[in-house]
Amino acid sequence: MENTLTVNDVDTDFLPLIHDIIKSGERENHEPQKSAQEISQKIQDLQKKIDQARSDIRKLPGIQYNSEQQLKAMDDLRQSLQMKRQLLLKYRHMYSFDVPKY
Amino acid sequence: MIIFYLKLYRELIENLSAGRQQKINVQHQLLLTEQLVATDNEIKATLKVAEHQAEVEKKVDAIKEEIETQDQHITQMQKHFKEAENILATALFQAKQKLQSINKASKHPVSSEDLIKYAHRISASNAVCAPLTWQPGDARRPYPTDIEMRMGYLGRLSDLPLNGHIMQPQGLADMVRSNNQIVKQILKLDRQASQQNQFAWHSTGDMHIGVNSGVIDTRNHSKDVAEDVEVMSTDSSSSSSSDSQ
Repeated sequence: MENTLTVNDVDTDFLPLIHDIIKSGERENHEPQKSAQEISQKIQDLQKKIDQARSDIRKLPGIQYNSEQQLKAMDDLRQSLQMKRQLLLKYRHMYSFDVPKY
Repeated sequence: MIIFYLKLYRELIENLSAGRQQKINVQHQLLLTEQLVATDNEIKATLKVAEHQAEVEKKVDAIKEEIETQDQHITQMQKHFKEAENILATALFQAKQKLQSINKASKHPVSSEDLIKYAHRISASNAVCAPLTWQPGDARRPYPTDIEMRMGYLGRLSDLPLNGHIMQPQGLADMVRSNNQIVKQILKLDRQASQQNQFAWHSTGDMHIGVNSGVIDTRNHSKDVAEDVEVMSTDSSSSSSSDSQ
């Protein structure tokens, strides 16, 4: 269900993870080996989270254009729709019989 | 933006590890941290823009769907118009033909009396039975008369040897050419037979009638018909007398 993905589904809270990594680095002096493993694990988690966010953002609808292009495309489509509606109205309200005048 | 974010993050980590070893660049670390937070905020703001664009995209999709529906309506309507055009073209063609017929009829008017007379004549000479009011001596015949028979193809075939050369109508000659040999043989046999009966045909006298004329004009032939009636009346009287007997 790629189309139903919304912005709320994209997790971009990276700062807490970075903060954890920095904290773990500061503790490295007390328990060097344990801290190194922990940091390595957290960095991998952060990397995964960033990759996931990047992939989710690519699936968001409407991000292939910038705002101006999108609004312009919408205006064009609205104009096209308006023209088609007018054409249909014209067809529907045409005279049933157009009698030529001699 | 995320790439920039990643760069900042890597730089900060590297700086932190280097700073821990060398105890320098504290200000640079602070700057990097601020940039990291600012970039994070920027990502959040950009995501809000993306959210707005997603809403706009929904509207665009709805408009596209609506356009598709309108397109279907337009296509359907065009199909109906095309059908109507075909029907009207046919009706117009027929109406033009009728107008031509009406113009032709108004240019050459035929009185109803003539029409009824001609219809009466046709029904009298080409019917399968005699009229109810028929009586002996009545000129009308429920079968083709001699003259009518002679004006037909069979009568013309019989006339061929009289003129000495082939006087077949063009249509019949084409038909004979296009048909197989059997038809030709039958025609030869017919010619031989008609040569044998040549004298009998001469004895009747009126062999020139209708050999070259394709169309029967009722007004011009009225006298001929009257004569035929006189000739035939003798036959009919004889036949009727035989019937009465």
